[in-house]
Amino acid sequence: MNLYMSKYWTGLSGMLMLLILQQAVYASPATYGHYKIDPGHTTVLFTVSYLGFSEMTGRFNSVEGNLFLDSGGASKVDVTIQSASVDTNHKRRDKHLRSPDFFNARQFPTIHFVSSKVMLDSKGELKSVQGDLTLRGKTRSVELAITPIGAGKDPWGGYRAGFNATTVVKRSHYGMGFMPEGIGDDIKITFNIEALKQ
Amino acid sequence: MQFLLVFQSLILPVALSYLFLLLDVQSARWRAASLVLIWLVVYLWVRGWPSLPPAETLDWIWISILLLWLSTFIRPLVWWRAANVFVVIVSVLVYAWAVVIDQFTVSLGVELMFAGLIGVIIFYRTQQQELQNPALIMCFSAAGMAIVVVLEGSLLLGQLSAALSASMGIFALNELIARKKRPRLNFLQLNLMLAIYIALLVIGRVYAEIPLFPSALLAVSPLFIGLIGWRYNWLVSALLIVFAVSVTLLQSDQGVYY
Repeated sequence: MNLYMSKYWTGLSGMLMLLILQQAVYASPATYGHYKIDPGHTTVLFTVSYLGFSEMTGRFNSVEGNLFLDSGGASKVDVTIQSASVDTNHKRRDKHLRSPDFFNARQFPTIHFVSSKVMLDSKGELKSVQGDLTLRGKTRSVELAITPIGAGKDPWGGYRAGFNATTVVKRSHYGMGFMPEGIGDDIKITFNIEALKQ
Repeated sequence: MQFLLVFQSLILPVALSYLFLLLDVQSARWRAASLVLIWLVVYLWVRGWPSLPPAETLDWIWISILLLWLSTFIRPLVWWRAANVFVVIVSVLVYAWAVVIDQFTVSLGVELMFAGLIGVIIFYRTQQQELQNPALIMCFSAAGMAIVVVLEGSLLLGQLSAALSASMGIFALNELIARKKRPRLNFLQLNLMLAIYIALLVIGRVYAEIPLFPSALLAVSPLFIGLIGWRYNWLVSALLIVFAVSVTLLQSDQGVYY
């Protein structure tokens, strides 16, 4: 009986949560204003070729930043990633990635992206972002292709907007040229960002 | 890929050191420069051309070594010694600078002082004496450091340490078979090789997070070069290195992913 009741309540609360969330999510352009990245719902992924046989994906677990969306061209994106938070689901590999061979996380604790130009489409949606990516102390221009996911009020009264952003960089441009025979030079970076309006 | 790693870290430095041996450079200063050059060739191949001004710690090593080598031109002797000690101490500080300014701890300060002190002690102990097995001890120590660093997760520092060890291989072999005539590692060569060793050890400890105990053993190992008149000093050093590698093996995650 207890098991039956427990399943019943779990199912009911799940459906209730789904209903609330369905109400919150709808596809409309994010309204202008200042957004703060929600670290709990934001991931930064990177994918790299391994020995030419496969692609390996890792992530950074510590991401923070701000988005300023403005109709008048003053939009800005600023994202900071803690390089020591690299996570590839393998402790020993993560330590190698933090070492001077790759991210050199103790010398360069952060990876930073700051926009120089934010482009919106005719509907006012984010389309692409140009900016400077600083990694291992080296700064180079990159362009992020943006896919807006959705925006709207969340069940707790806040206003959220979500975007996916992708770009491809060459690790050798950032002084990460070690092991070129085994690890590909092109790194695909994907930002899955959810931001909370302030 | 494995062959390239072995070629860069072992075959090339041994071959180049043999080549310089055949060239038979007479000047002690230029013999020292040629030995450093072997390591630098590997460094440049593995790392690429270092940025100027140096962007990261590893880029400072060649500058430090160049300054040490240039200091040999300083006269009188007392000024040369002072310059050498100054470069060793400042280099240790520069290598760790990124962490010193952001994440300084007392233990880090003590460790850096310890590293600098070892450099200075060996410099003073070894310049006045007829050395026992300096190449053998340096060779063991650098090889041990290579293994420890690779086990702790930095293949790059491991390669550079292995190259350091291999570039002294011919001298070590000579000491092992107890030949009294040349080739012998002279004091200037030892001084520069030791400076590279300390640089890699500090960078390994600070940036590649080699644990404290194996790092301390690796740091102490070259001190036995200063044990004058004891033929088996290399054995003590070798035991320390074996101990450092064993401790690292026991502590490290054995999962292979390369």
